Amino acid sequence: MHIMEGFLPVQHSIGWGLASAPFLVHGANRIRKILREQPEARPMLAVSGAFLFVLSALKLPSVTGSCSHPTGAGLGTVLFGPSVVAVLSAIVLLFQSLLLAHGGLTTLGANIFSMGIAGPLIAYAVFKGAKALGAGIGIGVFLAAFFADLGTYVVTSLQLALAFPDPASGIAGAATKFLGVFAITQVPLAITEALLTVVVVNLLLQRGVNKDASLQTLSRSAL
Amino acid sequence: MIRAIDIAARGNRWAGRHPAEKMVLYLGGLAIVMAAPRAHLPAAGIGVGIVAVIASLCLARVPTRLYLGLVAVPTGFLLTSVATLAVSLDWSDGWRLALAPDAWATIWPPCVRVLATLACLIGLATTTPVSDLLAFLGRVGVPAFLTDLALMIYRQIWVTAEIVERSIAAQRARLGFGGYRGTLRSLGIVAATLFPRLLARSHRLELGLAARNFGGRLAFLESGAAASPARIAVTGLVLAATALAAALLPVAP
Repeated sequence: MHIMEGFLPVQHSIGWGLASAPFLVHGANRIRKILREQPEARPMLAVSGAFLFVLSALKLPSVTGSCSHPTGAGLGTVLFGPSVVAVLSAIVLLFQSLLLAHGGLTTLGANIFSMGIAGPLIAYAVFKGAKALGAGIGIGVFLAAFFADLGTYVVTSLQLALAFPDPASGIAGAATKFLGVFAITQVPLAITEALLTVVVVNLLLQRGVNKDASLQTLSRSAL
Repeated sequence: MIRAIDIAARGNRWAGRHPAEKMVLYLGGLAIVMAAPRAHLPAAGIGVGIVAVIASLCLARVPTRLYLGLVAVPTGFLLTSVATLAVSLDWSDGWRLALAPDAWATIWPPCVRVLATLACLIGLATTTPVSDLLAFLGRVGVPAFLTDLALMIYRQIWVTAEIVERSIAAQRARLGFGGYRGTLRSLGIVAATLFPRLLARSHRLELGLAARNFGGRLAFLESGAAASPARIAVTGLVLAATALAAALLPVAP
């Protein structure tokens, strides 16, 4: 879920934009370095961004009977690494607001922070942690995608709680309210996205995609 | 929806105009709403909303059905969010969920902001092709490697979306997407088949660019229309009048 256009007060819009900026600058510098050293990586980055955009537009079935869209944070991070995903997500979120009217320009910073920075960092930490603990690729990918999806929504809930504290119980109460609403709908969707990510990564590994030289350039072999 | 927006952006009456003219109108309106103090927000929101809707539907002639469809989805999300804001959770004496005291005072500012800024966002999206916006961003200082990359992603999105649509149609023809597990598996196969195809496509693109002596910068043709200072001045005046009227009108509680 993206925070919709205009929903956050202006101070929060600017604040989340500033909070996202260092991560985006870091990711942009990494992409600039990749492109300077290997200009031929540009098409690879372009199709990766398009892949994330289209992936986030796929309708995902929920066990509750509704449907939603994957965040793509888990799969994107496993394939490309968190710093590249931050910039690709920022571009994808900008396109989602301009091509689909999902999210918005004033909430771009907040949405980039939750979906392009927090989600991928959680996925990366969980994936590396699971690998360090000896978990197989499948379990690592499942956990990374599950916690990235859920983490994105937890961060979104906290962003909303900071902007709209509950009159009686403050930020903590507002966070509980928003998390309560999302937990019902998002946990089944996070499980679904995690299962989908495992299916995709297993098929990609069977096809040897992780050995692709240009993918290695971007991801530094997250797989 | 994505195709409909792009078609509208390229086919409306303002499609040939310089993006700066439209950005002044819609981003200026958006800035007025976001900067309006709470007391003047209703007047600013209504004023900017009316200007943006008239500009999009009456002047640029964006299809009304498309416009309303684009407004409907975020409005649904707005209702859900407003319902969450309207209740208060009190745990000082056991857990109690009740209608928040003065709930209306909490929910009207985000509602006004969302509806007014949404009119600006949809106006910009349906009157200005993304490629024009990216070219404009490149001219105002966004690093070229980022705008080039964004432009390539934008172009690849259409190719990728077509491959996905065909893959899904082919799978449905083979009785895919049956039940929860079947849908998951079908979607997994679509995504996993898509990625190697996109990798192969990126290699072909890379070869094609190398064969054309690619030197690190991509040049695309842009619409040649120059920005009209007169139109920008009129737009500025309309927005200034809207902001002034909002500042002078009686304040909200």
